[in-house]
Amino acid sequence: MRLNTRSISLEVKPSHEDKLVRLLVDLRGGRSVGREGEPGHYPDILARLPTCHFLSICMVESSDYDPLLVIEANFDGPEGPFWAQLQAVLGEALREALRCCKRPLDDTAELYDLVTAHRSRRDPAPFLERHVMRPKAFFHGNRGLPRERILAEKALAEAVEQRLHDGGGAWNGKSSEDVRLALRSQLMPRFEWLGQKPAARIPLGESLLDWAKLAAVLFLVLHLALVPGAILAALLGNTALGVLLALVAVPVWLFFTRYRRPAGDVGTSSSNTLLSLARTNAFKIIGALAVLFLLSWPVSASVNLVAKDMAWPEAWQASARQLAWGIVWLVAVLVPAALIWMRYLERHDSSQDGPVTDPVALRQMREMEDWIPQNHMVSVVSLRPQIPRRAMSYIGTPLIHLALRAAVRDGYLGSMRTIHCAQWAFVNNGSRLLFLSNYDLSWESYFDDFIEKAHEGVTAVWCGSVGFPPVTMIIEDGAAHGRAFKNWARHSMSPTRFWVSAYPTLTVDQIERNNRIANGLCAASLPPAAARQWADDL
Amino acid sequence: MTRTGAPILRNRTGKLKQWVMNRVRAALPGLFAAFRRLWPIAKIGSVHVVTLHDDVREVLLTDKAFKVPYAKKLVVLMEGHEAFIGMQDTDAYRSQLGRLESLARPEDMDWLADATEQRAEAIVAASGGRLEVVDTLFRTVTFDILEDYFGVTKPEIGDMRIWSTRMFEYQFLGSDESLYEEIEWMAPALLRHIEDIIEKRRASGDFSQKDLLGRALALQQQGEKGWDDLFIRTMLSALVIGGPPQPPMVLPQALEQLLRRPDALASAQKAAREPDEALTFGHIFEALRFDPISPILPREATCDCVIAQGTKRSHKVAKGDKVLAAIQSAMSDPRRIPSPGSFIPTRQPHEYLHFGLGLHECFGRHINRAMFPAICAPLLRRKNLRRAKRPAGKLAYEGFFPASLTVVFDKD
Amino acid sequence: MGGRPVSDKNLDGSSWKLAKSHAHEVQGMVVSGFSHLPISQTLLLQFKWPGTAHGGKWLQKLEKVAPVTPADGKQDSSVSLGITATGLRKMGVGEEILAGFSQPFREGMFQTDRMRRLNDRVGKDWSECVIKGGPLWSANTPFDHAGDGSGQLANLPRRDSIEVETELTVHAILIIHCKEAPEAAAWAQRTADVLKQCDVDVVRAKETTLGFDGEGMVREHYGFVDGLSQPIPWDEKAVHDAPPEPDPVNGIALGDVLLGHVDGHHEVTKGPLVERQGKGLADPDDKEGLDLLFNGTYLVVRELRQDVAGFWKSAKRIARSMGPDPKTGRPFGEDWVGERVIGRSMAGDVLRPGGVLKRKDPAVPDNDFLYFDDDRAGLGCPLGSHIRRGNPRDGLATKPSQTKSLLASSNRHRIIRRARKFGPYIEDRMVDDGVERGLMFGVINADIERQFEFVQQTWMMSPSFRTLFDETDPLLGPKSHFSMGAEPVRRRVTVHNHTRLAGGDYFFMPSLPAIEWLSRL
Repeated sequence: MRLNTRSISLEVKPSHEDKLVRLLVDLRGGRSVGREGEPGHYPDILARLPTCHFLSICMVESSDYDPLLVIEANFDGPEGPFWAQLQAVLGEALREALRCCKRPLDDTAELYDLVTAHRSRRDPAPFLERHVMRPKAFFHGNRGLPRERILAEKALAEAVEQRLHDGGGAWNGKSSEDVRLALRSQLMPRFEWLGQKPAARIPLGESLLDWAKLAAVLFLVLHLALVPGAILAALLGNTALGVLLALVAVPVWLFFTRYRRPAGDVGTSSSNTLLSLARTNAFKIIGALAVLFLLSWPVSASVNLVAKDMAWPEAWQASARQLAWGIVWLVAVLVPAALIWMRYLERHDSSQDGPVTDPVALRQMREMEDWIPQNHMVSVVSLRPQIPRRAMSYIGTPLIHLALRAAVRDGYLGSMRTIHCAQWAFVNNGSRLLFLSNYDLSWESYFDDFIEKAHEGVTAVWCGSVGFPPVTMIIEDGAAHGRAFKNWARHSMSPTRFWVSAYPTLTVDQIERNNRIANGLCAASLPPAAARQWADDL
Repeated sequence: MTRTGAPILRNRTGKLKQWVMNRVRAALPGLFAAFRRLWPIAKIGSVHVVTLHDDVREVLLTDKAFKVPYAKKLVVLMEGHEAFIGMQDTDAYRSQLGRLESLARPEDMDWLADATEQRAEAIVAASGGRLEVVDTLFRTVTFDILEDYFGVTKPEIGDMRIWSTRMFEYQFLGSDESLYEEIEWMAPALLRHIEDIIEKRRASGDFSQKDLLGRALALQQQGEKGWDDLFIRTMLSALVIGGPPQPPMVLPQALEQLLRRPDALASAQKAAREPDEALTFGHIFEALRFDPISPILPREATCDCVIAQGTKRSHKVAKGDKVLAAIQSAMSDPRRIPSPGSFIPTRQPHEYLHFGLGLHECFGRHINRAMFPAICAPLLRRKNLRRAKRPAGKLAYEGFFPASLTVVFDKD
Repeated sequence: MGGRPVSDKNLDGSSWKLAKSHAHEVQGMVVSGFSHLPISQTLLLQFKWPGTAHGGKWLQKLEKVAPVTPADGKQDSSVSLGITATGLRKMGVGEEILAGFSQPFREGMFQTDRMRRLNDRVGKDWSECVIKGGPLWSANTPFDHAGDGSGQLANLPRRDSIEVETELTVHAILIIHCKEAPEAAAWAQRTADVLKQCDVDVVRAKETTLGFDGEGMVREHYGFVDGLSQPIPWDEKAVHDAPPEPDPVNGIALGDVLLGHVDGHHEVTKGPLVERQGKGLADPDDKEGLDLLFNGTYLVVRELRQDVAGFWKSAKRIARSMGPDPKTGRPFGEDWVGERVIGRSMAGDVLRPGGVLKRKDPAVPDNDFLYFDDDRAGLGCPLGSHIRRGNPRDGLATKPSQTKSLLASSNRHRIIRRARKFGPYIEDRMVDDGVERGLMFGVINADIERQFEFVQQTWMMSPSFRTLFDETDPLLGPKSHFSMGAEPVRRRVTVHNHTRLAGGDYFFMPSLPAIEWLSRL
């Protein structure tokens, strides 16, 4: 079953802010059990939301906009049943929360009235569903593991632990494979599924689809990027085009080399600069352009055939020439020009060096954090207005998503693997970026990871946001400014008022470990080396 | 073990008609699926068939606009007196229901379960490995136990099982002439019988708390308001008509569904042997999702109103129109029910509408919750439980009523 | 326990030095463990004067009797000073100036959320890593209600207690380093007498020592060679004769130990700029203004009591419970267990599969080792051992491609350790003599959250460190499991806590110019 990541964001009436906070605090206070004050652990909710991995209900506050009610849900399988379950558990609280929200101005207004009317018995789920957002990008650390399997493998790992403990020194002198086989036969009666081949975490079809989607979108974007050069090629002869190219490209590149470096004391000497990435991946880029050429050729030939009434051989030839020029223009002019535009914006950006985090909000955030090995955060930032920036956000974010989806199979972002479920979505009509994350360990360590291990990607995603630390060439600097980035991120956050985790004691790494243990035990036999490696996880 | 005497069910449906009825029953899931997709709120004449989960909930929860159509016939059965089953959400309704609810106690459920299981076990044990379940097991146990619980003893002349089953049929299902003729004498007979019991009980001075009648009389003695003989009589009569006829209808259907699904049957048997009564109940309830006691619950619009207002399928209903809330369809609606085609005995309570919803949610739900697993468990625990050879091993119907189903199992 | 050993005489000389322009401003303790000054007196001070004004006088007196020593060369004695947030407030440092200090410092170590993170107190009870009845001393920083007028905070369902007070309130720490004990004691007494005249009480005093063994190594009370691993700060300009690149294994940014320099996150911490001659904030463009934090740093102090007999008895019990070593057929000894807990041999060499890491220099255990290539699975040095938790180096990598970035990332959380022990060595480590002994554990770092607290919370006390489960640091943590890598499967034992917190807090170690400014308050 596929893990779905969704969120709902609704504007709250300022007059009802306190009421909503009280409602959410009560929701939490009335349910939290377990370790003192431990959030995230609500057995009644978890039992009744059997597919839910993480659920949060927050009120996002800022002095820049009216508060937002944000409901985040990560669950296995189809949506409709999930919302029905949520309604069954929290229905009346949800209705009360909706009463704190503004009446929508769109065609859901009538439904809103019916759901929130005095003594209404109308189900809130259908209204919520109308406002469900699909994230523009999301990330799952333990991709392909449904909640049921995570919990089953946890139970198995614990049983293994217990067996090993009970066994004492009995294992001495045995081989890893002996140990494995012994455990397997001892645990088989309780965990019958050990007899079955474990389901593929990411089925081949899904993998292929991931790559196909990425390839299709990339092709579309790049193919469009060839159009300016191709049109020029259709209008001008080679000589004229060459002269024009030289006249344009030389100043563009000159300008670019001057402009690309960080201004002032912004530089953080991060090693993965955009240009060095381009250099190290030069062969891949050339390969991609070759593929692009081959794929675009028939498209362009057909256009020539129809629009210019050419014969096939002529059309092939003409389009090859146009495409070649298109690529030359793309690489020699369009890309540097776009980067210059980006650099121009970056050099004129305002970055908020001293963002003020409301002390009361900060206190509440900290109070909710670090009770269990997992934590939750919600952040909303405003997007910068310029066209390339918005284009980056609206197109770049989904592209990054597709790339991550296709390329990251093992949960590692760079070398960090602490994210269970994270998502980015645009709220308030696309003017703001909502970020929700369920991660391991402390907020500090999470952001240190971002800063130390994944700052390029983080910078790319957030560089279009108001107040973000100064950025160079889309991915450089930015989040590498450790404290500035942390302060900015904290100030964009709001306290997580209500948050549920289905496996509050497990980190992403531990879930993977349990999965390796389980998969290893499912095998009827393992070669000695594999068995030793398997035993390392015990 | 079957008691001798007149057949309990009326044998009036012709073979062809019965065959058609059975086919329609079997075709319902497909039919509903098509309706949900193509015509979620179907209007046929002045009848509206509501099939989506959301809309069914809305209809059932909106009791003000969609009232239960039971009042008219109830008045006949109760000789002009109102009973809560047919009433709107009024003070009188709440008062009646409140008084009645105060009689049944949570701790009764343990006793009910124990007594039921003992009775069922005795019947199964005595069967010798071949058992007709509808009458011999389900009906016998239900009536015996509930009669005890209500405090309504068997009449000397006549058969309580026939009376209440017939009146149940009249109230909720049919209304043909011959049925009405029977009702005309049975309804007063039952009321007289109950009046008689009340009188005798009071005279005996036995106000023991073990049955509902005893508790009611004790309250009457204490001078509590509202516990006059008329009320006690009407309530007991409503309970006798509305309650015991139902388990012999649904439990055979549940068993039939289990017998069709070897995996589900095996897991139900495992749960019964554990014994995990919650899980056993889960199996029965889930089996019923595939063939509930009634595919629809009828309602009647009390005003001009709209179903699914605020959505694209917004649908107007005129005052007086009939609205059929298809609970069977709602319980299989993939938009709200996860994997509706799968047999999942651990589903969430909200996914089931067997007991209805809202104002008229079944009064007997707690009793059923206690009795269902207790009746079935002794049978389910038997090894190698399977159908008898056909035709006896096939669930046969008389009209809407399951008539017979014979199973066999290994003797211990 | 965490480069270069204190015992390595190079440390105080040539391992790293501050450039001249900074050395005379920075307190000596930042750059040196004073291995040539093995005896010290740690004095915890409380300011007793009423109100919060004119609080600089004591520093003027102190200047006469025990002047704080700069880092500009080896001296025959040394004095280091740290002041808590409550101390600064009491001295009359304005709130607008205090606001420029880091939040953990302002809130103190015993702020409720902080205690939870450090695992000192979760909910309403002190953890078993704290001495019975709670710590004896702290800065007693009042809980910051964040000026909440909304009532949102007050309405939170709270399950912890926000007001925690220790018996002793500490406003400052003074550490006097000497060569000989009598000299130190006399000096401490002299200083206490002088301070008493200006209403400063010494509320707690401890003689602390390095304590070299016969081989010139420092051993802590359990008997392990200590002080081996220290980071090597690097800065292109501010470090004297800086090599072109930081040390590949132990190099960190100078800004991580000294404020006002580029730190591991490419930032320079700016402090509150104050008027050199006045008491308030200066114009931000004032060239004469003094950045109070510049060349200062934060000192974390934790007084840890060690139950030596408890530790070794427990080690023996564990050793016995494990049965004989299948390789040798002989029983495991308690040393074997203790060494696994630490991750190093008693002599300080890091454990490796089948033994210890071979020394490059026969006199000193190596400290430029890594884990990934040689001991990824922890068959030598257990994955959850004290040194692997305290500084995982590249050991958190799971693939070769990650080693570089994970080493770099773990180095951004390094701290300089300045630990000295108090109390005598135990006669027989198996027999409890009832004498109080332990470690006055000091940490120098510029970003308390990213360094000390991170190490404590995310590595030491995290029950989810790496893929370990239900385990914390076997030396400092509460009773928990402890896994030791072995073939075919790891051995998992239960370890108990024998090292307990008796007091501590966060101190600001001002630069010498800042001390001068404070003394004029």
